[in-house]
Amino acid sequence: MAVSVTYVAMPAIDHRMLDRELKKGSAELIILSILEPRARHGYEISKLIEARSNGHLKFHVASLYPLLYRLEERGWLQGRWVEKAGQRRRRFYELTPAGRRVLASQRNTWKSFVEAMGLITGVDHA
Amino acid sequence: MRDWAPDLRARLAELRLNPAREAEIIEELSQHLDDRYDELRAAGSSDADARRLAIEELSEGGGLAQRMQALSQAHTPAPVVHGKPGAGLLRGVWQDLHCAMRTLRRQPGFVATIVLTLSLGIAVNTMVFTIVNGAVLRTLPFEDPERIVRLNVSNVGNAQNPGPDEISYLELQDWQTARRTFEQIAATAERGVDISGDGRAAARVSAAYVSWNTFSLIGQPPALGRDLRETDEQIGAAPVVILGGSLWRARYGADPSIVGKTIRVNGVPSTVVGVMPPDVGFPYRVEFWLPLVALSQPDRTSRSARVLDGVGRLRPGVSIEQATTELSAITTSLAERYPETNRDVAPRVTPFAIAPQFVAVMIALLGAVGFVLLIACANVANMLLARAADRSRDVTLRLALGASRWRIVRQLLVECLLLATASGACGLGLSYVGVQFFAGAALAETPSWMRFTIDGAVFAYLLALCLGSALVCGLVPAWHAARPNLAATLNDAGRANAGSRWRRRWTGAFVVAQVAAALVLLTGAMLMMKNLTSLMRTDIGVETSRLSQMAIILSQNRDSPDRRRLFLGQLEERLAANAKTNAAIASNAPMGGAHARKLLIDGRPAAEPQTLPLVSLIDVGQRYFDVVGASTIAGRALTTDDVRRPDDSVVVNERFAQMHFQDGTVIGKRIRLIELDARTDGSTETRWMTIVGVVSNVRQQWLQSGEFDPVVYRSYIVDPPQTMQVLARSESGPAVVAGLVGDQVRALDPDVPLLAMSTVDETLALWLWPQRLFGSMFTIFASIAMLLATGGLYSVTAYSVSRRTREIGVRVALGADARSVWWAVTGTTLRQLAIGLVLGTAGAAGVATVLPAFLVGSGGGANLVAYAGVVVVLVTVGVGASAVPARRAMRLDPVTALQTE
Repeated sequence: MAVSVTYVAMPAIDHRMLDRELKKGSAELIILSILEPRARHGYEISKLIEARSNGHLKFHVASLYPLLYRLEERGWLQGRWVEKAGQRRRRFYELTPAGRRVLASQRNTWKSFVEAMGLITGVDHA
Repeated sequence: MRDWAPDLRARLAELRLNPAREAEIIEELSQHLDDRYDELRAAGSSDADARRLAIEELSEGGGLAQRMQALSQAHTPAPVVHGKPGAGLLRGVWQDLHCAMRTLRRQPGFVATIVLTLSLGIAVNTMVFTIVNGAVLRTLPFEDPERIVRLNVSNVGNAQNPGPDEISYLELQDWQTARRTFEQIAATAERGVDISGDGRAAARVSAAYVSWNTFSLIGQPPALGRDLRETDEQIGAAPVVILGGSLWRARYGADPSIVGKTIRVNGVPSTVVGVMPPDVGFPYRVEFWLPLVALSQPDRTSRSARVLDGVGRLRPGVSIEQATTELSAITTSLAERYPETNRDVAPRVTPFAIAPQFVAVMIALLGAVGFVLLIACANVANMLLARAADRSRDVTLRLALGASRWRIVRQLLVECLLLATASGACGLGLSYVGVQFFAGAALAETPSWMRFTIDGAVFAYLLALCLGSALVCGLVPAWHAARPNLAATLNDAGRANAGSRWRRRWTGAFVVAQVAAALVLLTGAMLMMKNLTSLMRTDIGVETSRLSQMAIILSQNRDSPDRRRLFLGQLEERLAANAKTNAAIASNAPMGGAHARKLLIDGRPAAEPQTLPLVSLIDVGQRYFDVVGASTIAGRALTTDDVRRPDDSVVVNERFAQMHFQDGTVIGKRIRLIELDARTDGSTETRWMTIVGVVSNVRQQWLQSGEFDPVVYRSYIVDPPQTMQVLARSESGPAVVAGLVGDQVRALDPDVPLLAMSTVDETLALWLWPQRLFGSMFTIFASIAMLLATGGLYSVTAYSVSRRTREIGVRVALGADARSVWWAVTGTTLRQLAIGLVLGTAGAAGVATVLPAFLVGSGGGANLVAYAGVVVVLVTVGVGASAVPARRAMRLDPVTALQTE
């Protein structure tokens, strides 16, 4: 049984950019997934991400809210203010129909990518 | 609730948000910071620590403001980050440009190949467009050129010779009453004139007799002196002339004092009143102008003397149809008053443009070079497709990591645009050289106002070519490269394959297109060169390399027919008496054309004038047949008695006898020759002439059929023409003979100028300049096309071999023989070659059908030979191009091949 390992060379890719691109590419999927069941406000979103990732992923203010605003500008999220007596207003975000379509597409893309990465970094049998 | 607003406002200030929006964001983030503060306090942090930690999170990842700069709410320009979406378009393109230059700098060989390939295609296109622009598109250098029209007539009653035809002087005066649609009407007649009496040797110059208002009509006043006036055209007015700028400089040293001086023109003292600018040669390439009143009396007083080319300036807003209608009313009236000369004559009003045949050739050339550019683009597209395959993993990973497909496509297109721009710069230089070559070759045959220069229109065309080439070459490879097929592309890594099916299809399509286009171009070029070769090798009937010709022009104003007979008779005697010259005179040299006449044969039914057969008529001297070398086939040649007393004797050539007297009984038959525009029912005032001999064929002009033309020879004494050719056969060159002949002419009349003497072969070569020039251009373009197509075939096959190295190694390791390996490598290329040849055959058939109509004497039945020759050349070259990498593949070491990535 012959084994071959394939090395993927990416000479044109900056690794810092790769790190940023990875987080950027996955962050949108994460946010959209969190909001799929129901509308949530920003603090709740950040705590859910931290909890479900067992602390591996953390979105603080400076990284979460610009992302929410960007997704809102694209029309994937819809924000609305909710007022309660004695408290500041909170802004809740929910998925729009376009956002649900994008979520489905990105899920498929991410799944393919993960499979491919697994093939490459795993062991082939000839 | 804590007050987080100051900290938040400080960090949001640089974004210059809308105040209402800023307040909303501050409120939202303040709520988040409250929750975070409570969480930290619940975890045990102090008030100060909790607050500090919450504030520090605002600065993570470069800070809140930096992360929000890309949003449309912010009004600060975002920094440019590679791959970051939302950057401004211009900044993104600039970044792509920078990235493209960096990428291309790392591949100098690849870039050089593409630039060389594209620049060839762009160069030939720019060159031909420059010629078309100068000849057809650029407006005439006259005032309001769109209102200037040509005026002449058609003979609607003469099917054999419908025109167009010139107008007469009297007709011009009648037409000049058409003031409703025309601002001005004028006319010109180009003639050569003899100038002397100015202290310099007599010379013959190209001149034009013009209406007094000609220069005001075209809006070009003299540079020195004055224009012609209406009084200059009155009978009895003092003769005046205007010099051309080039003649003024060359002959008079640009001396302004020539204005006002008197010179002799055709022996008539005339005053120089003006000098035109150097680049003016209206109506064609003239350097001397006289008023129409200087024409001979017959030309001015006879309505049948159609010697003038009319030109008019329409009134603003008037159409050609309206002008034609007004002139038609006048010509209808003239037809009623002068039926002998004006019946069935209709006016023709056409834009002042170049000849339609020239436009047709220009369009054909544009089509040809368009094919060359398409072949070049197909070549480059294949190279870019191959390069895209090598970069597919890089691009696909970028897509997976968030880069947009449009951004990838845009970057690749910018690379193509950069390559196309570099190619355009090189192509511009090459085209300039080509244009200079063409302008020099065509200088003497083009109007003075036609300029072949690179101007704004040419630059715009060049830019369009660069842009179009970039799109054509780059769109398919760029779109293919941006396909987000992650798994398939990543799985391609390390596998020996020739690329995706999609890419192979496009590569194959480009190869097929190249071969088809090359076949069409080569067929056209071969047809033209074949035609040129056959023209140059045309059997003239006599040996012409040692036969020289020199024209003598006897000015009409100075010589009556009797004086011309006397002069020519004395010249013949002097030439015959001089042992050093073996010369004769004739109205036309071999291949020098002839007078066309309609033929009537005694004893045969008189046909309608428009259906009478045409023959060529030559006026000859006593020694013509001996000098030219035509042998007597039957009867006898013209004798001295015939030329001295030319009552009714003529000689015909073999072709004439074959066409009109198949039974061989030509000797003694009587014929009558009538003018082409004579309106008669068959009985004319010309005399019957008796055929006394038949001589061997001597070709006077090319016919479409390739046959000799039927010729009638008569003595020049019947109607001595104004222009005669002196023909001399000698072992010495034309210059020596010219000296000997010139001495004889000058001894009779020193004021008769002599045109340059040349051999008949040299004159023929000059007449063939359009065929030589355009035939050469087509051949060069076709050769470039074949070179590019061949290179494309080779590179595609070589690339396929390189991508399939492991596959080939596996085949050989499993026992495949050399033949099967060869076929595996070349099979695809040969199939594409075959498909290209089939498709190209359709195009070549179209060319072979249309092109002969524009070729002189092309004959029939030779096109298949030309086509077959082209196919053989293409197949040979194509097979050879793919065989080289195939041989390399057959010699691959299987072990080495299997280890290749």
